Amino acid sequence: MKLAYYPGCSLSSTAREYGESTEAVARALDIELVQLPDWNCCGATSAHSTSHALSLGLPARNLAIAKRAGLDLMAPCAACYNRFAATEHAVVNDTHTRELVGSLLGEEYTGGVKVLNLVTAIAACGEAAVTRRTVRPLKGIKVACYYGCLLVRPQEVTGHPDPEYPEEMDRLLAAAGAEPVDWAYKTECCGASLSLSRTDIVLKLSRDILEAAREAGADCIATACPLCQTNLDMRQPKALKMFKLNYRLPVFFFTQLLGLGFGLGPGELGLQRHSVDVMRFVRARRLA
Amino acid sequence: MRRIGVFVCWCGANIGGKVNVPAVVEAARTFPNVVYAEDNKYTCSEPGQAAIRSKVTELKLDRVVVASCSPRMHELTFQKTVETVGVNPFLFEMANIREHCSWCTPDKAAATEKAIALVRTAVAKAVMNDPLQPFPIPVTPRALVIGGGIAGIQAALDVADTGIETVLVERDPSIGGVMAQLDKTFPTLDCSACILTPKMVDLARHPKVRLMSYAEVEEVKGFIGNFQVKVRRKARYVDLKNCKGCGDCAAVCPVKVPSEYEAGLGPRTAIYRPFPQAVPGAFTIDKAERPPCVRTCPAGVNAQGYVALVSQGKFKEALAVEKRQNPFPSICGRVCNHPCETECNRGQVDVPVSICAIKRFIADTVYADGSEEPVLPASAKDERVAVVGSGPAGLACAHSLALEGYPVTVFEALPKPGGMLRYGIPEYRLPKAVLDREIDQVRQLGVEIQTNAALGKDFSLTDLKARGYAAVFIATGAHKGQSMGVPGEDATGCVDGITFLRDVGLGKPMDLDGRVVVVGGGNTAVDAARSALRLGARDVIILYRRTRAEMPANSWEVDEAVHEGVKLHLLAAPVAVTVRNGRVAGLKCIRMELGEPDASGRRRPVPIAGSEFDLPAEYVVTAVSQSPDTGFADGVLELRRGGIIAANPVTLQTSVPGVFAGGDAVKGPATVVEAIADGNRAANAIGLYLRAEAPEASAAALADQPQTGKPFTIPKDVAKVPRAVMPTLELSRRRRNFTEVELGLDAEAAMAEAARCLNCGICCECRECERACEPKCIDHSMQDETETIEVGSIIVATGFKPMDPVAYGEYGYRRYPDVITSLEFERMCGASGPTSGQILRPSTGKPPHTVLFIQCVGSRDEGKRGHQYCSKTCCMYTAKHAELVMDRVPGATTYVCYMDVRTPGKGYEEFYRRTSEEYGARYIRGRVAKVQPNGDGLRVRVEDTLAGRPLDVQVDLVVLATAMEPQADSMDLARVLKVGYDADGFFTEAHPKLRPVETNTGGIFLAGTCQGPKDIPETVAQASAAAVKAVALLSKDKLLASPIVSYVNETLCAGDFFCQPICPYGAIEEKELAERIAGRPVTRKVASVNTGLCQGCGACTVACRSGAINLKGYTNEQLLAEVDAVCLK
Repeated sequence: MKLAYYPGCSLSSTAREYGESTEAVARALDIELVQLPDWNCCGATSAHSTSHALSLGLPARNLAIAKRAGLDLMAPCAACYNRFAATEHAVVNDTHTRELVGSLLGEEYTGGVKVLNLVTAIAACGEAAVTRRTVRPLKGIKVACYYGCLLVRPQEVTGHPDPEYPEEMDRLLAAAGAEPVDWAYKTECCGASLSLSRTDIVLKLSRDILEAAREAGADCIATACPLCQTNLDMRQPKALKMFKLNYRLPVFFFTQLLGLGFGLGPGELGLQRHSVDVMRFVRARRLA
Repeated sequence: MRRIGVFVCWCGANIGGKVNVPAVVEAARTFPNVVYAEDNKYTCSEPGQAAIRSKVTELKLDRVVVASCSPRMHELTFQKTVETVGVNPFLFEMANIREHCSWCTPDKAAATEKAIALVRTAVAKAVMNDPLQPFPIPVTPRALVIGGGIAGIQAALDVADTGIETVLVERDPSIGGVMAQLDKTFPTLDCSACILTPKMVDLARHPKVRLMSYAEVEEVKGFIGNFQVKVRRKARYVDLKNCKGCGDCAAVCPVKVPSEYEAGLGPRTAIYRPFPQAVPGAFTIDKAERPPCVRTCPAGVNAQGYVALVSQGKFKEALAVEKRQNPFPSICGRVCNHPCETECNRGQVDVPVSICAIKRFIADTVYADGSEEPVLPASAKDERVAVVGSGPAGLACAHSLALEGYPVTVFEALPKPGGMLRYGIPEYRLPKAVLDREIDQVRQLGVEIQTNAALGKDFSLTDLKARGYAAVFIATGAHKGQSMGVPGEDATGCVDGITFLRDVGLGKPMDLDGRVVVVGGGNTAVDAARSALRLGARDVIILYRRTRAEMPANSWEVDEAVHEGVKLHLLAAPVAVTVRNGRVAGLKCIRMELGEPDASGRRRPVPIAGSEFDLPAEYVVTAVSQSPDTGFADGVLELRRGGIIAANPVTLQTSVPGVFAGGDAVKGPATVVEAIADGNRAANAIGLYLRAEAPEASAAALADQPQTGKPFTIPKDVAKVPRAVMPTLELSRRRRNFTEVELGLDAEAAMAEAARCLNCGICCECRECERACEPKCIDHSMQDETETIEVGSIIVATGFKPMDPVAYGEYGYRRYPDVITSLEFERMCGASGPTSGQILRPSTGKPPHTVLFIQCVGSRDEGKRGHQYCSKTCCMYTAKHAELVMDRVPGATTYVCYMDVRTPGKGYEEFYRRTSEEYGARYIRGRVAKVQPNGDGLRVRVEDTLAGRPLDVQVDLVVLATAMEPQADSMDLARVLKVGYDADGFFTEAHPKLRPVETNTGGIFLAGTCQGPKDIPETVAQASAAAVKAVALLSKDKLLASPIVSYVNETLCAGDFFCQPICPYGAIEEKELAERIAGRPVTRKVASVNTGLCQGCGACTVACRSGAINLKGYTNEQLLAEVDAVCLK
């Protein structure tokens, strides 16, 4: 499989470990990632809360580049993915958007690029491929797979069959030997970018998610979104302290767990970059 | 010259407000053939009609044009008017200057101009109008009602009460429909059953009603007054007349599936009656298509049957089911390659059922306690049969023939019977005691087994005939090991796998000290390797040229071999045996890689040049292939390539009549169960042969019967349960002995494993019910029957189904047990329901303290998941449910989340007030966003849109008021009936206000929820209305059909029949015409219109290239005249 790879801003900064583990896991699964040439910002929250035109124009430019390359576009960051999927959907279904995008880009873009996130891209390789590649099964790891909001919703944009209870990440980690737990907070809001402006809200929402995972019997959380991971990992000590809770729950990117199953080293997967230490967890389970 | 009068209507301001009516009248006077024109305020009123009548008489008008509203509104009115003064109604013409003109044309001048053009057009057509006469058609005085819910029951009773014969077709085993599932009915809280069941009984007893339950309408032909309806009566497998409804059958049925009547909350058996008050009260067996395990088994062994019986602890009954097709369950339970497990549907849920282990458990257990019920052979027959070979094929054949009463002798070349079972399969897989026990059972049926008697050496086929055997079955197997075809194979220490295993089986002393290399990847190779290990080999290697995935051996045997220490050397093949001093010293091998797939679909191994290597070994066992040793047949029987005997695949008859052959001797090396299948088939074929039945008949009788039946769908909510693990002998105790490795399941494990079966065939055909039924009314061989009934009218009352709310993922239906639908709640309230009327939380079985109802689930939702329409009943039944909770659970709190509360109906608003005000149900206006488990209960997040804030409500039970939907196949039925349906699939009425129970197809009426959501009172009213419509039709001797039908100008008709596929009513038939051309008689085919079927749509006239087919009243000439008139300025 060969994909146009869109790292976005976070995969080399706040979520460097997501970038590192994405590339390592892709290598292991023979997914060829070709970094999108001359890519620009996806617009993320800022564009679509300030300028409708920019919120479509910025992603459209990247989509047009992918189209020229003749590749499906894969964005590991859930926010980037969502912007691309939403723009693609709007361009395909709405003439007005097509015209707007055409005038902004100075060239016609009529859609036709398949937009993938990393979970769907790896799922496309098949669970069997994951199992085959697994050399250190993630035995006994009870993981709560946390999808957040942008990976699966809105349904008409993502085409996800069950946005209330997605299961692809659970299946992939199960294929690597982990034991995903059933829990009800898979797609609850983590507070997203309110992290900076209304930290109090994010602390409560993060606490809710961490508590739900723990109550479901999970001993760690897997995410596929840099912002979710930040809110659950970096804000975790404060969130739990505020509610007088005294534990720590490792929050992985799902690629890090897959990578551990594939026998990759902690360094390759960026395991040292977490706020809540994960190395003790990994060593205790003899995964490194 | 015609005499046409034009009457232009003001319709008050409706037309007069936009159209200059006097100007239209003025213009009309100038049109050719118009002798009179006037305007009226309201032409449809009595003064307006009187004006028409008087002018017709006074001026001798022969045609009348009225320019007013749509013909749908008043064409009939004016046709009647002119008829009273002697003008044929079809000489009347209408110009629509209201809907088509004044209402839709804003500009007055333009409207007037258009009105003038429309009147001109109507006049032009009127000139061409011909008088037409309706023609009479006969009426079959019988009604058909489709659907036996409350609508169908009411309609059927109302029609039948007038003395007209009525047939009611219901597809379920009982009538009653959804109303039978309800507990109480709003707003009076009458008990649903109390008011419904008397009607059901009335219907069943009514002398004028014929009830066809468990039947479906397949095809409808004909037309109003004369329908021919093909009805499929599904096989009930129970004699409807004689079944007393005692339920003895259900008590012994081992299969439990979710009960449709209990909305899945409770189980029912495969033989069942939906509910105790069912009408008819007879039981029904529910069969799906043959389950995959049975379908896949070469011998057709009824795996689902014995598995189901084991789940109930009925072991000896299970053994009897097993033995119907397989006399060797104890053997097969150990060595079968069980293709049934590969296909098992349970594998799609988690892991297939361990069918083989269960089979072994049954046989071992029942043999051990001696409770097996002996099967007695049929009365002794004279014809003797010889069976050559005592392997599984030969013994199975001997067993079946002996049961039929034939004296059988089995000839075996080796010292003991069993064939490959004894000499091919090592003892650690199949202990000889187990083998001997089941062979003895064959002997006990009177079968004589002669050992050390080899065909071709000790006797010949001719000898058998001379000794008086009337038929012979040859099942000599495939006992010739094939060589690898490499140099050095004849060295000491090199032996083929078959010989090796036979020597082991014969108990020849062997001491293998050193390394053994086994060449091959099949079961023989693995058996040889594991045997070698047990004989003391220091080191055992299996050398195979492909990868492990391609090894033909059973994968679990390979796993065990590896577990025991056998090493696999894959992707390598021998080139030569290295020989030192006449003894094996090793193998020279070459590495392989996989190339393109070969004929078997496996990738072909290709040697890698220069990759030769040496593999030292003391012994080499070659297990590459084996073939039948059929030297005895040379020149006697026809052989195929590889020495296999040629036999008919169905009858197993060889080239010599009376000589049959099967098993490996015919198939080449195959499995035990395939051999047993051949043995059984041979016994059947021999029986037919000996009874001298025609060979064609035998082929038909022996071929597999295709299994029909509804397809099975795997339930979505099956909990994952681990598969039983077969206990095995410790590794340390397997060396230097042949003790059996697999130890068998215990009763507890076997029953738990059997309970994992999904019962894919539903009825498992164990036939326990047959034994339990005293009146003997069960017949598993019953077939569906079709019957054509003639009726004059059809009432469609097929009802609705509640929507499956699983698409609303946020409510967590099916994920959380305490989220249920309103119909499930209704069953919970039923006194005879699964909880005996107690309202309980499914998760705990305890009463809920707080219950929350979510309304409009799937209704009033413009998204893709639901329907736009309001389901009309949910507000009221939810109020009823809330009251029931507060009545039955003291102190309970109820919440109702709603969008609007709609209570239009007598006593409805009062009921809702009582629920909210007196009972205190808390109504929250807002749609629920999410239901999540929280602690012991559920947390419901909802926005209170009146208070303008989000709420989190902690509850114990959530009830979803799901939308009413048309039946899943309503559109199929609509196509069969040729009636219209809307985008949702509800049948459409002819007019939403004025013809609410009629369809646009004459003689077909609608009743109840198949037309749209409605409650019981409305349904019953509509049913009675439909009945009156049907009776009005059926009480006539003859009907007058509209003369607006197509007709064919036979002179022009080219006989191409393009019109035929276009006609939606199948009204075009072929007619042969005899005529004389140039004095010679010729015949040709022309189209002919069945005027009874023709609905006058005119589609055919467009398809006709020669313009031969025309529609009366709307001929091509009339339409062209209109076009000309429109275009004329």
